Amino acid sequence: MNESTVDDSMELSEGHVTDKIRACLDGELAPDEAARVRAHCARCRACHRAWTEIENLYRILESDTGAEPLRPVWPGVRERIGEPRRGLARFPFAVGASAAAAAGLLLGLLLGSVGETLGSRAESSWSEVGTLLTDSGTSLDDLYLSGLANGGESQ
Amino acid sequence: MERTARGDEGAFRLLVERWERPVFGFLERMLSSREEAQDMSQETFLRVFAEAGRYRPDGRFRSWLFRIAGNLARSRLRRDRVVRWIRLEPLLHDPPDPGARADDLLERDEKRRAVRTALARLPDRQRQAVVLQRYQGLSYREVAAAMDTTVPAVESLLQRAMALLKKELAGERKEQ
Repeated sequence: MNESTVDDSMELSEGHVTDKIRACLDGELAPDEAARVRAHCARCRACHRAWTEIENLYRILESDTGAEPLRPVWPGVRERIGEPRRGLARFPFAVGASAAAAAGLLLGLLLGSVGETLGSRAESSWSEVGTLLTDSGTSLDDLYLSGLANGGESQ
Repeated sequence: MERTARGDEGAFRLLVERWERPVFGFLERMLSSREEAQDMSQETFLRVFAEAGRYRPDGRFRSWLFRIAGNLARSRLRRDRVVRWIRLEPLLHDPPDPGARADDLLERDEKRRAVRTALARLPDRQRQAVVLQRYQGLSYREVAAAMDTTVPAVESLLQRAMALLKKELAGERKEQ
């Protein structure tokens, strides 16, 4: 697109077409619409800039020309035609069952870990109660009797 | 395809030889690994052969072909992420060091690497849309068919992808 034809006044007098530039460059617009977009971009500085930016980006992307296959694909395909599909892909139900089993195992491990933590905390709490009782010279029987005396339930 | 569906091996061989480069090119950009792309290319054509009877000639063949290749690539990417998560190790064919900015790769012969780095950093679906549209030359409608989505969704994927690529390749653009 020719820079010399760009007119700043177009930015005010006409709606921009920036949302259509990429589609235009990608060949996705009908010929008449593409012509309108091109004509606008030739005169509007903002749209011209957007057009150039996209064009530059495309040029950079095109510098990646891609790679050739490492070897022809056919011999490997030929060898495997008629073979049953590899592994679990042949048994979709087995994939689902394996996933469910793995999820169950993970959940089990998680719950086990949480339970273990809670258990060790409870054990630690009982140990602390024991230490307090020993330090204060009170037995569990004393506590039980004291509870009954206060109207507590003996469970 | 009709002859392939009838089990004509010669016809299938022609089909493989006609499409192996585009399929490999697509998979290599999707997976960032030539070995993986080679393996998945073979898998794609085996799937084509196995499902040839289900192909309906009313659609575009290349959309159907790239849909198969795309599904395989994305499930391979998902699987690799799970394996990486379980093993707590990086992928062998991960994109280059995330610390390395594309705009640091200024040498002319590094341009391709910069493009690959930028492509590899795109989310899978955005990368798939870009590779199909820009490198394989599919129309928006064909990309939509290959990705099992709509044309506006493809436009949106491309728009977001281009914005990210523009940012990633800012250094390269200054070089132009």
